[in-house]
Amino acid sequence: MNEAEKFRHDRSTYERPNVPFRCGRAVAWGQPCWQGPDARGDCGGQFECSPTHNQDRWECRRPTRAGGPCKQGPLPDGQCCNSRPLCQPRPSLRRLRGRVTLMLLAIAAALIFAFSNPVSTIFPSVAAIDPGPLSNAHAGFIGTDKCESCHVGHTQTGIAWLAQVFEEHDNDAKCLQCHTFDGPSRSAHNRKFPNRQTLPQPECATCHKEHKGAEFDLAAVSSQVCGNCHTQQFNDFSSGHPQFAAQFPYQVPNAIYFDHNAHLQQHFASAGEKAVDAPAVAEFAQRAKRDCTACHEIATATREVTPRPFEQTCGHCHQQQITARSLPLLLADSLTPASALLLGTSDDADDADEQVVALIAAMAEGGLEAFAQPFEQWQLQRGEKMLEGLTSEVLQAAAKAWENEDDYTPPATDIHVSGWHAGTDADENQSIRYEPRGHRDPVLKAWFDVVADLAASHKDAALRDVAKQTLEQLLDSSEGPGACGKCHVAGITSVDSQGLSVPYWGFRGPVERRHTSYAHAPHLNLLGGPEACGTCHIVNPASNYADYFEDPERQPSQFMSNFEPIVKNTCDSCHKPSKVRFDCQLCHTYHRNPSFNVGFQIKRLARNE
Amino acid sequence: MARPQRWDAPFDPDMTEADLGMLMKRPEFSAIDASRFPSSMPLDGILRNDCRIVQCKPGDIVIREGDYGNSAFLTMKGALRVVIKPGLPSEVLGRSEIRKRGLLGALSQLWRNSKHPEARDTTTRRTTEQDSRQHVSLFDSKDWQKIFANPPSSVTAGLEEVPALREQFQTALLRAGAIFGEIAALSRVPRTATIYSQSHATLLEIRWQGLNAIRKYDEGWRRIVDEGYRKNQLKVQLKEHPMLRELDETTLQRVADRTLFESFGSFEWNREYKQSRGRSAGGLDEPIIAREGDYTDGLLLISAGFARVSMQLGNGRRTLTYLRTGDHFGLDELYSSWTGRQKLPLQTSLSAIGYVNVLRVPANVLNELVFPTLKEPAQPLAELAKRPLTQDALLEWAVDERFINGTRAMLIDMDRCVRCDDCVRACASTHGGNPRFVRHGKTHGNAMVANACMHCVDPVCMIGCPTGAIHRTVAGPVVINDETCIGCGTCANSCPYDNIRLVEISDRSGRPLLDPDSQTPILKATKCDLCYTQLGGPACVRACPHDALRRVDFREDALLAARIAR
Amino acid sequence: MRGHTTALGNLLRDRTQWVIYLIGASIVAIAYAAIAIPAWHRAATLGDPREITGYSMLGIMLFLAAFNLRKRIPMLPLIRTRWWTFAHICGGILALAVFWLHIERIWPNGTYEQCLAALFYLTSLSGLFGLLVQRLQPSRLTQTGLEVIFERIPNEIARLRNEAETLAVECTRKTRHATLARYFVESLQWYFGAPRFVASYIRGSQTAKFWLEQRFATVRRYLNDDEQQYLLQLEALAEEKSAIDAHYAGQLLLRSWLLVHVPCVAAVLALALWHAILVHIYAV
Repeated sequence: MNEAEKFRHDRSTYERPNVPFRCGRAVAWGQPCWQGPDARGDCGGQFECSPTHNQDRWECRRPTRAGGPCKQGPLPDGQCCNSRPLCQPRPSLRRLRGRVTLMLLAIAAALIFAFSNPVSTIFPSVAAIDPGPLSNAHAGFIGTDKCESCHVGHTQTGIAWLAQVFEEHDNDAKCLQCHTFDGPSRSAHNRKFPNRQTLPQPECATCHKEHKGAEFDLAAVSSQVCGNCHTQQFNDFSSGHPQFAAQFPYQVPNAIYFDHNAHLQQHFASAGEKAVDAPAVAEFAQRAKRDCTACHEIATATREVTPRPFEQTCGHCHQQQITARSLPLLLADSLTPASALLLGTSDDADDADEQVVALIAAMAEGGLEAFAQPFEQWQLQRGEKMLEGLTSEVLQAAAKAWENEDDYTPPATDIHVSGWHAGTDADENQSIRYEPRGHRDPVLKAWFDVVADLAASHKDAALRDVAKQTLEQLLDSSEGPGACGKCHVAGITSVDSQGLSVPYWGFRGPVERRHTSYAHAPHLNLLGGPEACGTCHIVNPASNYADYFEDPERQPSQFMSNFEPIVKNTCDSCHKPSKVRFDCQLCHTYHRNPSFNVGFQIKRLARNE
Repeated sequence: MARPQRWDAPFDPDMTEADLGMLMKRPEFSAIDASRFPSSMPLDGILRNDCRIVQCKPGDIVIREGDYGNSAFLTMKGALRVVIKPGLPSEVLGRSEIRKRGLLGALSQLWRNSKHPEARDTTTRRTTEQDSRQHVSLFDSKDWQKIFANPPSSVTAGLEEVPALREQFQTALLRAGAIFGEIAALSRVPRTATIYSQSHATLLEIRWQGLNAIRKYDEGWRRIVDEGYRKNQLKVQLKEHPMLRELDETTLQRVADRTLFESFGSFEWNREYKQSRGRSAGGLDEPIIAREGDYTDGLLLISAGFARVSMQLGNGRRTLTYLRTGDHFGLDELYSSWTGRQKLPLQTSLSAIGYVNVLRVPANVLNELVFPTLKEPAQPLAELAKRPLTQDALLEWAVDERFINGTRAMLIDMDRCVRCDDCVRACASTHGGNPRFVRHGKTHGNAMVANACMHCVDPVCMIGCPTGAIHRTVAGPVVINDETCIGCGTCANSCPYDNIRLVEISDRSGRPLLDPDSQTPILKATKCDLCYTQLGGPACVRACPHDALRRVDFREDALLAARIAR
Repeated sequence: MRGHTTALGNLLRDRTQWVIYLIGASIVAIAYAAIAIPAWHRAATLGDPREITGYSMLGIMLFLAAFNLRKRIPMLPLIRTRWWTFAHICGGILALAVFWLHIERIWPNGTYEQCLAALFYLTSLSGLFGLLVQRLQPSRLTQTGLEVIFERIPNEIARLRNEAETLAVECTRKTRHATLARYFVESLQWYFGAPRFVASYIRGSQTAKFWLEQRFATVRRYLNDDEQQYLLQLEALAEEKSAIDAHYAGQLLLRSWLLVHVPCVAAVLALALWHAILVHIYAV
């Protein structure tokens, strides 16, 4: 057929794509009828035509496009002569598409409905709301509560559960059932900042996002988050982090007067010459001169690299100095600071002499009981330690001798073991004295501790003054007993386990910072060798270290360390992009002492059951 | 519901027997020999059914320039004025709006469309055609101040009191007995001038079916019509051409007096075209108006129809372009002769596609009156030959297929069309669930001209409609009034492009509507109406998701068409 | 002037099309920035960016789904459908980008989210497939040399089948040899029964042509001159059927990708809405 013939208006009628049915014969690739399915979806082609009654005859009315009127014409009763079996019209592709869409929608809705209700009795499963596996940290501890451990909204069912959409949830409360901190849990840094009233209050989930997989690190937070509160804003360490404090990390004055410069330049060198017959000393000195680890223990280094105990370090040279100076308890004719304290007066009081006489008389009569009273008065328990080893016989014998104005000669048997001496001392005086047996001598230490506590906290003001005076004298660097004051700095106290305010004896490190940490170990591992220390701790030969300690009115700000302050450049030469980690969390911690509380323990126990 | 008949809806239902008697007594009709009219179409029947008596007030606009009209007029009483160019501003003419649907009306089609094919609402039929035949007065427009310097003291005042109009615009007087509007009604061209009534007037409006019948059977009327054309229309049509527009009146009259009117091809070209269709002969057997190589003796101005400009190429003729109303042929060669450069023979041939009305202005008239004041003409037609052949291929094909007739041919780029039928669905949803075109048609490469009404310049479908159901709206689309259509099929058979389809109508529940007498289903002619009552224009164009479908005029959109046919 | 043209070639040569692509890419980039920047800002200020990106996803998906609604009201003068298509494609690409922004990875964990993501990816992939098909297939259809409306293909096939069978019968009657008719029943009748080699046409291969050539070549030697005339006519019919089959394959492809795309959209929207509800019940 010529193409033009196909388009003739009587051969080709309108195509109706909005009809949602197709002739069933067309679907089977047969010859479709010319009528096509009707609007209801029924076959329209049962008969070829609908005959019309014209005058007396029935006429075939098959249209031109279907072939024109047929030759036979309709049957006498008016029915068309050509009929065919009804076909089964099929939906068109578009209708099929609509059906599939609705079906898929219904399936989705049904699945949601069936699986979504967390406490559904038909298909109890949280798969429909499963947002991903929990991290390993939490997965083991949610126990039978499961989702309710953390999600407040999960506690409801049915419509109430859906209504949770419109409610505010306090999911933090759930976190805090197990997690505790050293401060207000809901505040930034677990602290209150009175001059930052408008700080945003972050929720736990702001930074810690769960359901990211078993291996996900919950504690890792991006550095940019810190800038939300910190007024000085920068992205990370290498770009914009402020310079370290002016004397970092040596702001805190040492509690032990140790002049690195003097030792490194002078003392270690000359020590070897002094101790010709002590090769260990010489060896130590030689090593200490060049190797910081001779004194500082790096095996257990954390934030500080603490020096080794006295015996392993300072003791090589300074042991004799300690034993050389004794604590005079009582002179035959005058009070010493120690005895003055015990009597409650000062050693240059007006009636000091009479008191001495009275004391000697009391000693002669009662021995140790002469000193019992002050201890009762002070209500101190450690008092006994102050006179430990001192026996009444010695006191009585010496007192009797002095009453008679004789020199007391100690017996040949040793009371030296206890350290207490009575008799003639190095200055040719009769005295009862205590000679320290070594570093950290307990009797001497007891004296310092008790006196310090009295000076700090006894309620009697006069006694406090006396105690202060006594402490100063005891801790005098050139004359104090045991030479304690030579190295241990006066004026610094700490509180011991029994609540006494005692001198600060040990090594004191830098300022305690709750949110900053530093670990020497990885740095030393990387840098290696004894020379590693000098990478950051650079000795300043020109520092006036001694000035601070020699000034009795000293202020902490005057302290000048032997070392150059550590500056930021030292660190960010490695902690920068393309080298090693430089995010905030490397050095800084957000929370104060994160820990777990009772709730956690209960859950843990429940898990173990 | 019975099948409608031709004179079921008389043009003027209010005409009384007295009116008819009065008409028959008028000199224009009493002079006619009524015996020459067949009994199926007597003169008084024509007057009674195809004529309408219209009363006009001063200022009423009778016909507007640019409107397509289907009627001629006879002034029976009173005086009218013709506005010669420049025309009145269109706001003053009160171009009546096509009554478009509102937003809700458009949207309501969503649920009102029937799912049964070709369903009609039988409860509200038989309203008379509601087109914009209201005579709007000049005073009704908002902008009448533009033309009236002094406002009239009362509406009934005659326009004699308002001289401003006549000062600003050139007008001519039409007295009683004047017949006007017949050329536009018969030639299917737009009205060329605005005519308003100056005083109270009575007119007889004759629709063209009646006019055609009268002209066919009466010699006197035939002569009047033809002379009327020469007197009124010729100058107007001459002025369509840019080179003659600048001439003053006397010169133009002299040109008009010596202009020859020629007609080529057949008025009923569509029938011949249909018989010969499929044989694209490239215009080899078209009537030649002017031959390449001949020396021309006059400028040819196309006043109606289409003519092909072609050039010999090898063994065939290459179509360079086609000409239509307003175009001219032969100017380059004549101008060149006049300037003395060279006496050129015609570089291209001109042949008639379908039918062509040509005005021939003799060369000596041009030399004397026109060329002295003429600017250098633009690029000669022969220059078009420099284009590569492939660029012309689409145009050549379109001319052969006579698609050039269309102002809104549905051109589908088949390389973009994904055959989704969204266009057909959109057409259906704007026409009660029934599409009005079929997405098939002749193709040339990747360009398909689908079987959708092209709203032709020469709407041959309108020839022979017995009731005037198919008509051209003021805005241009050719539409079929579904209620007055009697389903005779004349338009469907006339359309050379098979763009009109007859359908059997049914009621809202799908039962076929049968003629009570013959028990045959009632047919209606249907076709694309360019969505003239819808918001937003043709729905098919708006619905195509890939910009594959456009309604084009082949010559205006030649660039576009060239882009499509890569 | 242009020589052999392909659809892709046409697309690439057309400057207007390039401008449209460029504008589309710009719109997608700008819209993405309009979502990503507030989201990034929210993340940097202790907020949850997933709320912004999530609701953006929902908005984008509803806008994409609105395309179907717009097509159902062609009588209103809304913006032309071709711009809606443009916006739909841009929106689809944007949806993919915002989806990856929202879940911060390629594939989520969690059963429910994986179902949602699977459906979303299916929708996106089917959409991209459809885009490709819609650009490449039409010119292939045009190049078959004829045009046929999809719903009329059964008519055409039935007609060709009838004509072929008529030819075979007539050949036997006129030439008094049944060779051709027998061969027709044996080999060619199957071919005319329904569209054949559909998968081959979709792939773009020439299997049908070769198959036919083989079949016709096989029998040619057994036919006399008169029968050869019939064979020639039969070949013409077979060639026409080949073009029709190519149209069937191409137009089926152009329709069937939507059978995946549209149903998935409904499921995705349902699941996405439920996801939004769940998030509001459980998340902070």
